[in-house]
Amino acid sequence: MTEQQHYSASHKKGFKGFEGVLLFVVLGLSWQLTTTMLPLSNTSLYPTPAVTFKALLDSLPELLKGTWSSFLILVPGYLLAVVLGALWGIVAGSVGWIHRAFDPFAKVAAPIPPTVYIPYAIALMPTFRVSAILVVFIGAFWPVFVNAAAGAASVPLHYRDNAGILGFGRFEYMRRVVFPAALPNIFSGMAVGLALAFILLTVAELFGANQGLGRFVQYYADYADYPRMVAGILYTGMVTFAAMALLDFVKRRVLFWVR
Amino acid sequence: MSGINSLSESTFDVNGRKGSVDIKRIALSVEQVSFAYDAVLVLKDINLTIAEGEFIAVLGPSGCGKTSLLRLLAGLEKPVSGKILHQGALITGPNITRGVVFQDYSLFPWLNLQDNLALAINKARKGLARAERKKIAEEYLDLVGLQGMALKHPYEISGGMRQRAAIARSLALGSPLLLMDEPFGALDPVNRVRLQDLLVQLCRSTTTGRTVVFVTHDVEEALYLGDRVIVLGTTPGRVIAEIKVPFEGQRQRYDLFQSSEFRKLEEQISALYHEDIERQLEAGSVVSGEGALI
Repeated sequence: MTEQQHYSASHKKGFKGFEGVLLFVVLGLSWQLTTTMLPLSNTSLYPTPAVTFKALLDSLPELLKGTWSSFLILVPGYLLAVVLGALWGIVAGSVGWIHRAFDPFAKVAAPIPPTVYIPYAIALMPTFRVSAILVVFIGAFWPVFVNAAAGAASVPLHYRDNAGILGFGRFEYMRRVVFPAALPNIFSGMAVGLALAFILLTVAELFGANQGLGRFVQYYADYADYPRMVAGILYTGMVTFAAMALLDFVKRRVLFWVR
Repeated sequence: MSGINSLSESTFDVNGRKGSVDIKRIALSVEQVSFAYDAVLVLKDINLTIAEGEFIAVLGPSGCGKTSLLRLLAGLEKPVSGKILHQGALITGPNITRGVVFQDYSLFPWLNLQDNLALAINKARKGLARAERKKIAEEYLDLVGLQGMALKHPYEISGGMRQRAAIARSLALGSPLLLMDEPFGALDPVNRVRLQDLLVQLCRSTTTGRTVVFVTHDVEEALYLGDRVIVLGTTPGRVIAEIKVPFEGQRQRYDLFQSSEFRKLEEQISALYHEDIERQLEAGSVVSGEGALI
């Protein structure tokens, strides 16, 4: 049909993206050069890339086990935060009196750095895992909630008009209009929440875990095994990156209609 | 003033075409309606009676409150005084008996066309199976020339196609009254003509025909589509004339635009606008920059 237009989504590749790779190459080279060429007083503190890489390979089974243990904390805490944060955010963002009732509390509670809950959570909860899940949940909940509420409160007027014309009741309006309309905000909150969840996970593990990613780093630092410790840092970075990339992938799939 | 009478006099009928409104069943009656937005009077003392099956074009310059009038008819806004009755009942809020086609945002962007229409079908006919709804949605899409587009999303198609789908949704809703707010205003001239013709064809059809209130600032469009044209003046918006369009039956666009009657009506509407502006200038109520004509 002549009416049809093609919206090409192709991005020009080529030299773009090369800059990012360049930085990695420069960083890798300077790592290699500084650890081999400089007269360092304590060489064990500055492992060369080769040593670190070997340490990474050697500890891979332990790291994978640690990842599993960490994910048993991260995934339940984060998913619970996403579900409850999005649901409650949508309700608080679109129902006037609930917003007015909850907003003062949210304004006070949301800015508290969630790390300060860790000692009490560990003391309060029966196991370390449950307390860490609680802390991850609190940390990820607020960004998801705040963004979902903002998205629900700013649903464009024309969506509301359309919902009225289609005779939607309140629940149908929330489910079919407010929820999808707030999804872009919810995903923004989820990204912030996921980054926070990783921070809280590893900090909590430094406090009291006997396995996991944060625990791995702490453990080998205690034993001054810096190659393994640096390997643990790099590995944790990669896991975090992979999780963020996965979230971004899901976001692109779900928000295909956002242009 | 020749040709068109002002509101205070009786409605002018160029050729005495059609029976007068009051013989038919009244679909919509607007009684002494005023509307204000942020304490600014937008519409003042609007009176209108619209018969069932009539195609009313509401014509006016920007800022005359024609969109507000349509929103009042839809139930999306409430008048500050006066009342609006649809099929004898007071309008208190939006309702599926009054379908609306907006300028370019009638569809939910996260749903494909079929699912957008299915929402309307679900309301019009409760208890249909999912497959049945989808089938009906496709039939309505076929009707507006969107064969095979059921699974497309609004962002994947052109503005003209989106408006076709919006019309299909309104038809699928089964509303006896169809309100259209400059639905072709954002389209290029070629698509606008196509969609005007589609609308004429749908409104003449016995199965899809219904009462239509069509808001536009385009004089040609109003005269081409409307059985009757309501001309609104500005600051505040008021009805300054009602014109019965004298062209019978199937209108041939180009013959129509060439005809002297059409030209005459066009000039008269233009004269009405100028008169309205001059009246305001005399009253000193026009701030420069406001009330621009079309």
